[in-house]
Amino acid sequence: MSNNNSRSRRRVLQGVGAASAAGMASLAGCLTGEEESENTLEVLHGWTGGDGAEAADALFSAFEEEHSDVDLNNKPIGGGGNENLDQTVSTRLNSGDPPSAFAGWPGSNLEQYDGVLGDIQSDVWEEAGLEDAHVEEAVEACQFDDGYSAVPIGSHRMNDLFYNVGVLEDAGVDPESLDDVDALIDALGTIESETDATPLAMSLEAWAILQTWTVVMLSTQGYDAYMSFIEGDGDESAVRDTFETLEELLSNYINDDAASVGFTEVNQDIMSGDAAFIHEGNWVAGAYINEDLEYGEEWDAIRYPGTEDMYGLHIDSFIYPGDNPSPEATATFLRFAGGETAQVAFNQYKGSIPTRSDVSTEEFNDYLTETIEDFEAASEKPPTLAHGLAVDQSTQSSLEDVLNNNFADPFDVDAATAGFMDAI
Amino acid sequence: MTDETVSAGRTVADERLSDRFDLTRVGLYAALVGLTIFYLIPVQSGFVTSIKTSEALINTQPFAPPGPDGATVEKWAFAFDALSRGLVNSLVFTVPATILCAVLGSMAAYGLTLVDWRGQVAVFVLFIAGIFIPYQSVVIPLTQFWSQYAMLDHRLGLVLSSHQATLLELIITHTAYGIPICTMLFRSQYKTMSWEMIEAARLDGASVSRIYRRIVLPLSIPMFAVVFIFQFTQIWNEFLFSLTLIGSVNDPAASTTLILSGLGEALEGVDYPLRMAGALITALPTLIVYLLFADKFAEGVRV
Amino acid sequence: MKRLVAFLRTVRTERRVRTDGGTADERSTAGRWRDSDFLQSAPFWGPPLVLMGLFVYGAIGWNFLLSLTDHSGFGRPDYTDLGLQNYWAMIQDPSIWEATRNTVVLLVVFTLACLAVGLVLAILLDREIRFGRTFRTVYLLPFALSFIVTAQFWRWMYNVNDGIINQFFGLFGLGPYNWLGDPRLVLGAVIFALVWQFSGYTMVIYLAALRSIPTAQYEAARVDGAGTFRMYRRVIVPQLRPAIVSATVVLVLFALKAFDFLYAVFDGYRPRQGSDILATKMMREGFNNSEWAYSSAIGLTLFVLSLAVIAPYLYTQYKRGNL
Repeated sequence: MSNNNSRSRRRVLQGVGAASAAGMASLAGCLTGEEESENTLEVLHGWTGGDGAEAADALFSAFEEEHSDVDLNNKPIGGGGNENLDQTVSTRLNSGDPPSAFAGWPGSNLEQYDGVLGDIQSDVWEEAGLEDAHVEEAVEACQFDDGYSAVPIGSHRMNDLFYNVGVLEDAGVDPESLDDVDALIDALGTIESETDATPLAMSLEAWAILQTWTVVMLSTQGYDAYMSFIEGDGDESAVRDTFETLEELLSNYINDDAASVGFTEVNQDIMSGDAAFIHEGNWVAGAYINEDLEYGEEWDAIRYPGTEDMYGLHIDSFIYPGDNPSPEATATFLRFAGGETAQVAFNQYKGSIPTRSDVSTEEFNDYLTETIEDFEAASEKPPTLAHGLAVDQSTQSSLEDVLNNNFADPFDVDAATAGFMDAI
Repeated sequence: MTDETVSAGRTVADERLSDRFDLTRVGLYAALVGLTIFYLIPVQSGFVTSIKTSEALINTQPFAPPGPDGATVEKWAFAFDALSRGLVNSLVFTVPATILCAVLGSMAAYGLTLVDWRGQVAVFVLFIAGIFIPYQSVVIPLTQFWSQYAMLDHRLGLVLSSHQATLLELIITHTAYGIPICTMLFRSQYKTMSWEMIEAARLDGASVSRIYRRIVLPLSIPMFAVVFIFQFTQIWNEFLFSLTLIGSVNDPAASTTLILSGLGEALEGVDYPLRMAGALITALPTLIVYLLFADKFAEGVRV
Repeated sequence: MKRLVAFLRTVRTERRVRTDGGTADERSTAGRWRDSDFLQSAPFWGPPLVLMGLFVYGAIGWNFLLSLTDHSGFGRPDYTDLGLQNYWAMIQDPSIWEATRNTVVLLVVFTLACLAVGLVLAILLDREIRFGRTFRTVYLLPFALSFIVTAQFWRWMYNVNDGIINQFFGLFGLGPYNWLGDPRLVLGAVIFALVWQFSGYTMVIYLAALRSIPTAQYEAARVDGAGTFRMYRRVIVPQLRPAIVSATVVLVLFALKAFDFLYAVFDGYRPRQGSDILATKMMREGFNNSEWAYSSAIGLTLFVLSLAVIAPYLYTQYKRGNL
């Protein structure tokens, strides 16, 4: 009951707010003020540790500096990857008690929220002019239901292959010479025989296999084959070839404990020189920088061989629930999040890059500066399969199930191929 | 049914046996000590690991204590810091739920045992079956009930914060699902109670509730102790309701088991010393209760 | 589990009461209490029954209803269009069969291992020994801990590079094995850890049963010249049958709903391939994938499987006058 009351009261206030826009300026100011003090801006996100926490801090303090009148309640929800955040969001949305905004992937990932998202086309996208400022792919990813329901905050690159410079030098491998996966496999073999290091550091968690599968497919089958696959029109032999190549990589060159460790643990081996290469989203670079390892001297990255002209696209965004507890404050925040100040503040710490195409690279380190330049120059930006952009959440989950059951050591190419063709 | 009488009788046979086979006796103790090591080593290894620095973790055996250089209480401090909120929350819902279960269980057992009426057994079967049901078959309606229909944080919004409302949900839920086992425990005692005394009181004209208050309740005190010990450990250790009703480690109402399940994850993968320290801190209340009342715990099992 | 400990106790107590004689007769005298006894006692058992009944049976009924809908994602379920489609989907879902197979393996191996290890412990402790009580306390200790706690210990025990288990195998030049990562080993590793946690419980059940065997029977067997092993086989083990039955019920029911340990060992809803059981599948479909109706159908299946164990058990207990 009381819930309904407060909701209907909110509607009344919204109505009054709308009327005020038509001219009753003084009354509007009064009522809006009251509304904001009643409903604080509550933002849920999962950035609780390391660079994520620093980035969130930078973002929210920049917002508070610019909009000190908005009462902000920023709620980090960590643990279990994004599992805890997702579950909290889903409980809140289910019980009709949505937060003002929550962090999540845009794109197909939004489909699971069908019916509970609001439209911010005019209040945020048009008012702040975000459509022209952001790259096309980011704009499209945030569109939902004939409008917009999300605002991009940054992007990680998914097709970088990181390596320990010392290990490669010891093995006599020149990373710049690797131009396809076969060359990579040869290099891994050389590392295996020339050094004690693990050639390829890997975690066999399902999502990690999925993101590596994606780059292998892009590299060996090309952009078009990949795009057809995610659109549900995949060629079986292309999928099978990808799995065969991946099997060769995973069954010969990875660490023994891959099936029971997470990526943060295997990434330690890159830093300590116990492993040569790692394929991950470029969030791992944050760890190298935090450990004061020098870019180009101690660690470096190449594009995954065969994907040199692509940018593997991942996007983080803030999603806007309908029946919003604080529509005006939320819109203020989202306009800010899509703007240059926010994107610079957030991404320089997060180790990701702005999805705006007009941001100065001044504040970014060398590695990210190069990434930003590549982002603008890339001929294709294939959306990530493992992070909600390419397929909806339940498809992504089915793909992960297939990998977990058939392709996480032992590797069953037939079963995995059949499973992938079935799932999409 | 005390073990003294039985073992005393058996001693005769055993002594004869042991006279003949001293080697058997040695073997027996060797086996018992070996098993002790087996049952304790996960806990022991957990403890020594929890006080190791990251260098000591790499350089020492997993079961060996660290040297003075390799020892640190840093992980304990960090784990305690992260878990303290959960420890308080767990205590806040465990204690009232335990007491409520015990009281309601005792009442139900009394109504179903000492007051005789037809159909008792049928009702009692409903209670017993309630002990066994897998929580998987109720947990979705349960979460929907609390989050979409009961919505205590809205309805009681004026009295309770949403954090307190979640704890109240947990108290009610744990009480409801704890009633069957408590009823069972009390009924086991009430069935052996002296019937004459109750009959006599009855003839004196005492009402059903008076008999409960004056005769049954005072005699139930030892069983209350057993039930408290059982239910306290049970509810404290519980995870499924915490996971589904609280939903997030960062919720202000998060229980200690919930926080432990993701402890330190956001930082650098799984930090084993931190996890071990957290596990021991979470286990501490139940361990204390268990070690203090080990006999009672086992007696409850044995009778 | 712990709850059943208590239940067994009831069973045993009752049996003793009957054999001691008396109680049953006295109860029928008491049965002549006034007709209003039902009403008079209702305030005592009524409120607990309502609270428990709503949460247990009400929720199961609701769960059944949900399993007939197509509810997923957000919003409220639509109860107007009901059907068995989720159960059909289950039958056609290979991962359900995979989970069922793992559930059966877990259930059988775990139960037998607990019964066997518990018997060994009980036989070792069922005699006059120093520190007998201390040993018993140690063996039962894991049973007092939360699965979330023991899962942390076992993750470390099973660690590929630094775990004690692999160090042990290393002594014989074996390994290292990836216990929690290799699909061929993971279920065995999980069962081993759960047996560690539960065998103390079966031990206590056996000890209670062993100690209730009249000493005269030992003496008689002894006079007949039976050796220790024969005495256990001929005299003692047959008398343990009721304890074995009760313990089996508890262990089987636990195996059907084991979730906490797997969640904590694998840091989430997706257990390692080879260790996904129906209980974890149900939680993942619901709370990870928001397939609420499908998840309810799996939950209800688990309830029916449990009922298949509970009902015959309660029925025989009832027949024997143990309820």
